[in-house]
Amino acid sequence: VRRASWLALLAGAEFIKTSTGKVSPAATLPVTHVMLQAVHDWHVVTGALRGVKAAGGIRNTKDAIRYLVAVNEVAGPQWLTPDLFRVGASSLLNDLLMQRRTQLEGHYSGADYVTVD
Amino acid sequence: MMNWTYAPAPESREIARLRPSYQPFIDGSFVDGAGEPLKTVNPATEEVLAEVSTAAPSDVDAAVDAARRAYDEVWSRMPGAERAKYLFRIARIVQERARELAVLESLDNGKPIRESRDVDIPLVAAHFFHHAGWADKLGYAGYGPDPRPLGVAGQVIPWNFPLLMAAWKVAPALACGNTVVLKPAETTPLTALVLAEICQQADLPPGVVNFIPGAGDVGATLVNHPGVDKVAFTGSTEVGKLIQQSLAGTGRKLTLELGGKAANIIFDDAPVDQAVEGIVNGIFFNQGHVCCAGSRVLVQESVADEVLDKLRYRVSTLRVGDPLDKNTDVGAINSRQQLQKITELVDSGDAEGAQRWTSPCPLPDKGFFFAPTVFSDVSQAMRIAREEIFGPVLSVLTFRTPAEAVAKANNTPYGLSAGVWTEKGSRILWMAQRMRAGVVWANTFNRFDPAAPFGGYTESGFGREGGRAGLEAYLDV
Repeated sequence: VRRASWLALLAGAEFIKTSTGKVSPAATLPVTHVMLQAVHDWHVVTGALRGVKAAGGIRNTKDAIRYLVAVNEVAGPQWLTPDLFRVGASSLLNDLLMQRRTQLEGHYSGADYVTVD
Repeated sequence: MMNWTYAPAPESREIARLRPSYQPFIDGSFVDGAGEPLKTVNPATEEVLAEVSTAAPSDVDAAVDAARRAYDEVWSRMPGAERAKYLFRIARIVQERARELAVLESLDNGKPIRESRDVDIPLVAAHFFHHAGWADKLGYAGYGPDPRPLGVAGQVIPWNFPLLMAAWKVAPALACGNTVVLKPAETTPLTALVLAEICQQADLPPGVVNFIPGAGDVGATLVNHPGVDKVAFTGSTEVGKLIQQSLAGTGRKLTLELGGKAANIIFDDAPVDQAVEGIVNGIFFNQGHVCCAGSRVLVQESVADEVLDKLRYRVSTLRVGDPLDKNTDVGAINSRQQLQKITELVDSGDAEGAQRWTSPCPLPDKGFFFAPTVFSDVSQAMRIAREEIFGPVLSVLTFRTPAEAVAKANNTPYGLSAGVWTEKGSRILWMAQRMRAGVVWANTFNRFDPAAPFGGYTESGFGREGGRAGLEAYLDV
């Protein structure tokens, strides 16, 4: 994964992505970690900032926070912007909505209260 | 750009169930020792944690007598399968009380909770489980059909892994049918005394294990005690030599596990990111208070700059601070005395012309802390490359050929451990054959397993702990 990331960056990639997200397993934390190392090193060598997209497998808010911590720790705080790090996971949004609602209302509502499309 | 700060995530110190005072454990019960009581200090805050009653020579006599009685009347006669049941029980209670032990260990020693929780305590349980398995299979260990125990073992352990070292000593001794008198380190006696409580909980017959806290003089009385059949010591080479001198000619069996100045060798074909992680784990694990720490990094000249740049960046991300915080990577130095020793050696590195780099991390205002430090442009002749620092201080040297790496790695009076980082399996084996070190780690570092024998060459001591080879130290062979 590290070598593939590096080759993609050498070939001029603006961002590198774990996979389409439609396969299983899709993004995992160790693989994303290695890709973040690659963009970090690319920045050290060339000064250019390249993005990472972790697609699939990130289903809930807690997972997303784990990924963001990895971004902050491995690549650096500069990468904590939508331009340089994105999560491709549609089910995450619903979980995030549910969590927000829980914080507002003080109790869990349930999956039926958020739309699926 | 967002700037994240993490909220502190401390483990509650209530979990440690700290008591105001602790007592020696002799003949199955906790009794006051006649020695001067000592106060054990939390190195992260310099506050007193508890008062510990210590042993006087008369208490050492009582402990050795109790161990002798237990040996003659109970433990040496008990079938191995029965001894195993006690060891399994101790292992399970250690697992049950793992959190309490981890927090107490971090309070008393200063090591980050991440390490006491994930490394020390699980390994303690693993050692008891491993040796419990041996207790009824000693006839198959390769030391004859029915190897006999030695008798009473006097054991003295250091402060860097207080409970783990106690387990390394107690588990094989009991499995082989010996009884034990153990002296924990002066600055870290608490977890060993909780282990005593666990032995009580496991219904271990009285006298089989005795714990006598105290300073060096208690240790000296114990190892020179005529009632002791076997002495095991882990600690400094200096004290080890004294023990060997005083035991010479007495016919008592001795094993020593002493200091080290391990070489961690990085070849140009090694995966750099992994190697950097390995270097960090090698020297900053447990604040560098590890006898087998990879305190000398030998890196091949062609990749030296790259490795050093990445290493400095990685080390600058290490968090130094409250040992009870779950985010802490490097905790507190165990004592003021040790901190002074580290500072003195680091100053000598400056004076001898090595390039010093210190992590810019913030340090807490009180407590004994030392920022992770990396020296480059180090030569073999400098003190920081020869003497054991026992702190978070790394010396980086370079080499050109594998032969030069071996020559430099072996050019030390110690020989406890070494690490090799390379993609080539054949080179790992070639290096491992030539290095004078008890443990050679390949593409990893500081990894411990109860099944793997651990011990040193030359001034790092003799005898092995763990695995089949470790049983020899506690059997009459």
